[in-house]
Amino acid sequence: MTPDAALTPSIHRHRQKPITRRSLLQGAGGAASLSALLAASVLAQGPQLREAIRQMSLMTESALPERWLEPTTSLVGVILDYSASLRALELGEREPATFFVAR
Amino acid sequence: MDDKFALLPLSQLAPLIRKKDLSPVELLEAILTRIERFDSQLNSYITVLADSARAEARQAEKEILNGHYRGPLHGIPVSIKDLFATRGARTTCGSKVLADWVPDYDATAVARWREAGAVIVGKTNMHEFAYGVTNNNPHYGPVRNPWDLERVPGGSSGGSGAAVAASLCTASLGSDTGGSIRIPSAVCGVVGIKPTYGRVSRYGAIPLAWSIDHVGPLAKSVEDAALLLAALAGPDPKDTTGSDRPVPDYTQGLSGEVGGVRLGIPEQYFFEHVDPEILTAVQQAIRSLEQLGASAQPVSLPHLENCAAMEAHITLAEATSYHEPHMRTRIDDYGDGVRIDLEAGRYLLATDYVKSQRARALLLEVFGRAFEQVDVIVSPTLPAFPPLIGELYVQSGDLREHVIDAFLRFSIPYNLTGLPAISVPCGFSSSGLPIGLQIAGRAFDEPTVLRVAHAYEAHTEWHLRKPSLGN
Repeated sequence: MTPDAALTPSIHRHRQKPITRRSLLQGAGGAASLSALLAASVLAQGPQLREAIRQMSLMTESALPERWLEPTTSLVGVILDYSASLRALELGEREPATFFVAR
Repeated sequence: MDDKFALLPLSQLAPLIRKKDLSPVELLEAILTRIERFDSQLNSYITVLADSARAEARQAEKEILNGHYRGPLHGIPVSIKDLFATRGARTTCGSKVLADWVPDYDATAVARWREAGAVIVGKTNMHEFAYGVTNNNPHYGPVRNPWDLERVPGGSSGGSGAAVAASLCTASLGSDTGGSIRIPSAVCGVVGIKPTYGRVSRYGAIPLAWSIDHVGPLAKSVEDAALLLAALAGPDPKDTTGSDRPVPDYTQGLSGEVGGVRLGIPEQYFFEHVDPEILTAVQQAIRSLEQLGASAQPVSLPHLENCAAMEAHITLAEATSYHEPHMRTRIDDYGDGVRIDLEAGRYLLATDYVKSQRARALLLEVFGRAFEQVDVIVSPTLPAFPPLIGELYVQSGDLREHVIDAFLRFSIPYNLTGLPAISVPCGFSSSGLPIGLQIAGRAFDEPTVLRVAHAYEAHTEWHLRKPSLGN
């Protein structure tokens, strides 16, 4: 597949969507207003994602207080949502950009 | 001391200092006087290093009087974004977490400017940990835009942009992970260049995201930017990502000529959802370059729609990884916005991070094909004007979007590809806000980027306008 052919229709949906993870940052006004910014698909999966993140925080001992659980979940949800087009991108044999130098 | 010297660019100050017609001590005093007069309005500095700067200026003057002139930066008063380690001077990175950190070493970029004889006036305010574009800093207060004190200066090097625009220093050292040199340069009406990844050492710069962090200057003119970059560029054994390529003479091609240069005008992405006044100014700038002998042609740049997601995965994962030790012990000392970003960075997928890094190779191929047809790619630096302090949304033509989405949109492709890009003033809005023209080039082809930017600047006067601060 050529790189151009790897584009999926979902990209164009995202192109027109003005909301990204950045919308949630810097004084957006807390969880209530954050929810108003979220895509419906994210909101629908919110409780499951919130519980998954709560469990992950416990397992990794990275205590996430209740106050921060909602905005963190919202942000993760939005990023996962708008990364769909990235995941659909066919990259063939391309390797990641890394800068490790063996000595 | 005549205040007019404080307003001059480096390229005009350097010959005066070299010929001993201007004392670095007097120049510094003029700058310090302006800081005292105007920085209460702008809040562009976190720390003013008046005492050490005076000692450095006296040393520079002594050396020059003794016939030891180091070069164009000798005796020039510069500021340093507070993200760079400065020996003996606190380095907060705009944070409460590092509020009391006094490094015992200089970042390589700082050391190189010191070696070139620059006088370090102070450390500039910034977005907390460089993690944003507004400079609404919860710990040190917001930086104000010199062109409209009610508006943000852009960021994250916003203090640097404001200080250069207001002549509270002659130039400043900034960093750029998603546009943090070019964004405040465009918003504040100054010149800022993000060089090729690996061209300038990142050692001693507190990272936001290692794999897309860049270091470069903010300046009053393109020639200044070339002189400042020349002093920064070159390999550094302390930065494993540095390039060993020889550093060319960045001023050699600054002839004002662009005959035969091929300008690429992107068919996608870079001209979508742009404020009409910005669009008009950039289109006029392209016409000006054509009148100077350059030719313009469309170039196809597919896949850039993925840049926002790629930036998110790379920045969040790398930033959280870097901050984890502080998050374990000082989490409540982070501002709310940065904390949400850092918390979220723990819960994203490793596969998405690696996919983002792999997709950078695809973007390089896309730009590589374009650069087979053209020499530089021209676009707006930003699609929208800066919001009022505290406001989160801007109008990008037909699209109302969050300021971070808007401000990163045209700059982030060049962080993901590592290609060099400069922002140069190309006009003003009807309300008096500056507009930036972004010119990007092939990897390590800063000379062509600078040449085109300089030719445009040489035939326009946008860069000569000064904000009115009651002076």
